[in-house]
Amino acid sequence: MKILILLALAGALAGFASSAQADAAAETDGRALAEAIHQRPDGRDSVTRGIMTLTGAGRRERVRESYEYRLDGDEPGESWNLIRFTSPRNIADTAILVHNHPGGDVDQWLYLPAAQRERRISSENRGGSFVQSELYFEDLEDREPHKDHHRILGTETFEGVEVTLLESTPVDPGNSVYSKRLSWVHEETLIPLRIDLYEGGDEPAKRVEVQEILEVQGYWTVMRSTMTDLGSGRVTVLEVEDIVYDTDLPRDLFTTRGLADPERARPYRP
Amino acid sequence: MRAPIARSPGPRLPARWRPSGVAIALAVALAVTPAVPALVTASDTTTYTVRSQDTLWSIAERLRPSTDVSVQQMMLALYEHNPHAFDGALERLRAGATLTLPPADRLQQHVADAARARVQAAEPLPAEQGAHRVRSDETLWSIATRLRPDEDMPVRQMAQALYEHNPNAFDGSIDRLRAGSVLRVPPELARGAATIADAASRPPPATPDSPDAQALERAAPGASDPREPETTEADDAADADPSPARGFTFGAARPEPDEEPDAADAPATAWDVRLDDLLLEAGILAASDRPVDTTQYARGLLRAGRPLGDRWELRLGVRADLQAQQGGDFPERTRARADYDENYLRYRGENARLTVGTQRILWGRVDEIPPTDRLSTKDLTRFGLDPYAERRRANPAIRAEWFQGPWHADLVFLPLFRPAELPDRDSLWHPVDRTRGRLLGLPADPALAPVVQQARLEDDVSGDGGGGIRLGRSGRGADLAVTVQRARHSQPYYRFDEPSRQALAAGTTPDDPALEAVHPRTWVVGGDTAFTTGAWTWRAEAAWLSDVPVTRRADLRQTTVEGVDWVVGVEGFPGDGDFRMTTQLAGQHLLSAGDVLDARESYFATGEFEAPFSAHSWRARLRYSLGLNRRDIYLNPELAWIANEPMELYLGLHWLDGAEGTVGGFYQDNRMLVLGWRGQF
Repeated sequence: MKILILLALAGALAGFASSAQADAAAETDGRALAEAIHQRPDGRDSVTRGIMTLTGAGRRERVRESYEYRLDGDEPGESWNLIRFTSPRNIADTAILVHNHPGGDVDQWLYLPAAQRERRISSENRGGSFVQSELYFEDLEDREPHKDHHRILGTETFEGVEVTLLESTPVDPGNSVYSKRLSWVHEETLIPLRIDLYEGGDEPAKRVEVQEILEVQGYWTVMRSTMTDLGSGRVTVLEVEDIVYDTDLPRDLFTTRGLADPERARPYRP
Repeated sequence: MRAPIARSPGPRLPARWRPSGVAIALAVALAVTPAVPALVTASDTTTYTVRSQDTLWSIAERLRPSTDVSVQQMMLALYEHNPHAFDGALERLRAGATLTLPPADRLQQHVADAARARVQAAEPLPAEQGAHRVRSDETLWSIATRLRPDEDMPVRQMAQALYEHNPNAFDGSIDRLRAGSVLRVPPELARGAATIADAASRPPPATPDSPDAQALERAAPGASDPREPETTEADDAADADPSPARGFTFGAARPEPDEEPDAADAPATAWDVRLDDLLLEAGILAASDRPVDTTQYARGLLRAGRPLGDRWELRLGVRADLQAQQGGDFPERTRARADYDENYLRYRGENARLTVGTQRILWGRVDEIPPTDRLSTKDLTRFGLDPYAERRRANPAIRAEWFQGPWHADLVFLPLFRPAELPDRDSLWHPVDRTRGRLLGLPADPALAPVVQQARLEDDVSGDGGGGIRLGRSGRGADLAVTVQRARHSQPYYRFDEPSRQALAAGTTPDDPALEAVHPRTWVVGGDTAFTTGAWTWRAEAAWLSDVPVTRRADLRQTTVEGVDWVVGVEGFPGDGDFRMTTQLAGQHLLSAGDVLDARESYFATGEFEAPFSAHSWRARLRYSLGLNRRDIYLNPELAWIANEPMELYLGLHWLDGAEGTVGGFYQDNRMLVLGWRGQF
């Protein structure tokens, strides 16, 4: 499972769907493709050093640096994510711990170094912006394919490669900020190279674009992607600076102890 | 489906293996692409064609029917069922080979432990470890120094190996490393190879490419038509590489990275020094009866930390505060104070942590007024103008913690009691107002005023600060903790010394009045919890105290009574956007207190509203505390410009109002407008 953030943003944003009267075959295929994207091999664990740059539309550029630690559980659907910021100073050491349970329950804690406290927060604030970027909290979610209807709209050539167009719409409109997602899925890597995100209306509100994919330790890895707010022109650039897979991250990094103690995970940094 | 797998219909295969239309569609689409697995549908079973980037581990993980079958069991079953697909050994899977899925009853013929041991024994050199992106401030030398497997390896040799393994990261020669390119470490030079190879759950390395597999080298950005993904064939040198870099670049060229070096690259043993919590603030008072006209405040915290080996950590910290006030009927004052912050030695064990030194230990869970936070030292130098965590000072403590699964046991002893930090004696925030003869917490009394004006302050703080235990659990759905403490009230409670009290009780004026600050010991039994319902996070906390100081109305004698404090709060994002709010309901009760001068029951609503706006360049915030059974109001609206991280400029108002005897009433003439700057470096 990938919750994803910097690393697998595109992968996690995958799915969605269609109406009941849509072509049944397209829907079955769509669901299968969404499942394939969701289950794309990405190792049992990974550690990513990422840089998030908030830019575009004449705003003052801001740069956030973080480490993301990810571990998949033994049961399907179980995973942990720990994201710790290292820069700028006003958010350094701030961290988020997410525990996804099989079945969809999520526990989420925030660590604020000033108060030296872990703070449980709801995972259902989907529309809030993640550290002031163009990413909503929902964009960090490991959204499972069954939450959406999926429909394949066809194939086309995009950026010189074959892609499959996948349309995804939420089964329960209440559990997503987005009314529709349209994904240009690269067939070889199962990574969407572009995702148009609709928040109602006929025009997409935001767009994810992948600029760089690299095979690292046998896993296709999004090394650079952007999220653009099409209305304002603001852009969040996500770059992977270092990444390492399958280093046997211990489970106890992903506890409130590991959350509150930045030193615990330091030896696992790439 | 994780990967294209096709099979013919068959009743007994697990559902996960069932073919889907898309898998077949993908298979057709992929079949025309080079370097992609060929999919074969055999007549009576399911097959899988090994792709060049597959590992036996990744295949086994993907194909096993459920987690009941361990990955290693699946690996062995595949190996034994497909001897033709291996070059004689488990770790030598051939790319391009076709694997036939073993029957379900063969999957677990090896017990899981034996399978793991066998797979482990077969594991050869580890796969390459990760990738590193070259920044503009890096050199091949600095990267090679950092990435070489150990210090015995010459940097020059590592640099040469990186060059040979990553030809496309260079502009033709070893001295022309491209910024923004990605360097991968050759497998045989992976750091920590030995220890990682010992781990049972690490996948085996990638298998050698099949000769016809087309290696796709990642090209340098900006080299070709942006509409084409930039893939190039590996050169001859890379052909010998067991796992040449493959990748795609889309769209416009990546800009030259322009980054500052960050702390992550510093050696792990170096000091991590931070200038934290810098603050400069100027205030103007507005009330007609204002005690002063203007205030200035500055503070800064300098913190340094370094690990001492694997288990130990040293932390040092100092802070400095400067407070000044001018005008009005209060004396003009400027006070500069240095203080210790956190200075400790910490040991980290497998399941334990021991910290000795000065620390800030904040127990409890709710915001602003946690009832179980009784072992920390309050900072009263600025009343409540700063947020909760900034209103606490470090105190000397010995802290032992145990961690077991979701459980956390926390044991704290305070060998030296540190009372609350108070402002200058004549500060507008001091709880004993000797200019006007008032005492915080008591109604103004014309008879007492002259005595308060003349009174000396005495504070006996000898002895230890007590201690306590807190047992917490952070689990699925809810967090909770219980605590028992023997603590001392860090906030001073003022009483008249015995001769003064007797004189006042007798209706005469004491000769040499004195106010004694007392910090009674109290038992604290409490608990706290947090859980979420939908998008809302609830927090609750309560504590029973055996001894809360009070003053009897009849004879002004100070004594203690039992008390209960509780807070219930909720946090959420109404509108599901960036607007955040917290609201808390709090109660403070004195039990069987009789006729005392102190409030026997107080109820408050406290909280915070916060909303960024204008593309997160600005932030509006309101902190508030409202007395519910007595008028006692504190409002702190603030507008901050936050676009220039890590600093912010803010304009705020501290508005106080309240009835006699309340905090808001005591400080209501201190209403002020402030302009300030905060930063961290």
